[in-house]
Amino acid sequence: MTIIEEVLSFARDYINTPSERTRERDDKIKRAYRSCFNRQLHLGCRDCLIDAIFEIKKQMEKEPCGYRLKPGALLQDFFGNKRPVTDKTLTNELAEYYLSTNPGLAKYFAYIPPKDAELSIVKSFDQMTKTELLAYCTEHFIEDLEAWEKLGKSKLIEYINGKE
Amino acid sequence: MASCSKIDSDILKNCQNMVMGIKDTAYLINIEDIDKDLCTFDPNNPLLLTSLVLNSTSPVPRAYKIEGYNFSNEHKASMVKKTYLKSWEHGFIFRIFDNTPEIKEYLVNVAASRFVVIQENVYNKDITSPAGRTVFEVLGWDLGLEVNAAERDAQSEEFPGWLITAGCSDKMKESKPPLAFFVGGTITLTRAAIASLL
Repeated sequence: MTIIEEVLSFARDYINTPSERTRERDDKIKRAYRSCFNRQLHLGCRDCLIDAIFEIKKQMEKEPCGYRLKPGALLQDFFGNKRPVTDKTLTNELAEYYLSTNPGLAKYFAYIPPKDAELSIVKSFDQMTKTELLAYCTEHFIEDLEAWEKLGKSKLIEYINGKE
Repeated sequence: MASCSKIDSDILKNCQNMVMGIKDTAYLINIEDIDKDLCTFDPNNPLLLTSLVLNSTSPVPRAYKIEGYNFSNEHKASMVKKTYLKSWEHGFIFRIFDNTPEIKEYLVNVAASRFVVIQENVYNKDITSPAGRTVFEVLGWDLGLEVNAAERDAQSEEFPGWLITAGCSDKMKESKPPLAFFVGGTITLTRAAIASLL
């Protein structure tokens, strides 16, 4: 059981029954808060711990979102009817909608998950220019630089084919 | 500010009573955490900040809340006349009702930092649309405020906690009065934007 699950399991008792509010549970709430929001919980009084439980619960009920907006950024849909979003209300669907309708909004994102590798057209070695072949060799066989550095195009292709 | 250094609008009587004071909750942001390239202003008024965005460094920067009590936060802004130019003094006073080691550590840190303050006025002019543009203000946008005094009088009958006075540097003042802060055209969205800073 994670620390967050543990806190949620005793949340009801902790909120409703003052005698259930032990120092050990207080520490667990603080640890769960840190684990959930990656920041320390600052306490004014015990009410803050109860507020923290509600915050954790709300966060855990939220649909997980792979995107993160920068703090303070608000995205608005001026042409459609999507609701405005901040980092706290962002969902994958809304993030993808906003990025597709206005790619310039990418600057307001703190994190955009990488997309699956796109298919690219692969050239054969015969179709490559000599510069491209040299770049390929630099990338793959840099340790044998002396062996291919001064070869002509056809010899370079033979060299690469021999290595592949 | 369509024209430069010339009066270009009328001031008419305000039919709404102007309410005094600022609210007990304010927000402090380290000035280096603000991504000023992404912050936007109203195209017709450079004193209306329409977006305040923080950097995405690690750890993620955020705004820090100051919670006072019974109107314990105070604010004052004034013009400072220099030989050639006019500049602006932004003042913000807050009281800390505590004296724990954590508070002392906070005091040492805040005294060594420069920060922007977002404060909430009680006055909300809602008889003109859009309502809510008078509510939030940003102090210290150009250079940030610094702590100019921090004192505690343990014998005080009124207030035995810490009194922190923040303002501009002695010589370097702000170029503008406090900025109005209004995001997304409504007060609700402004509050949502502030919540996302925390």
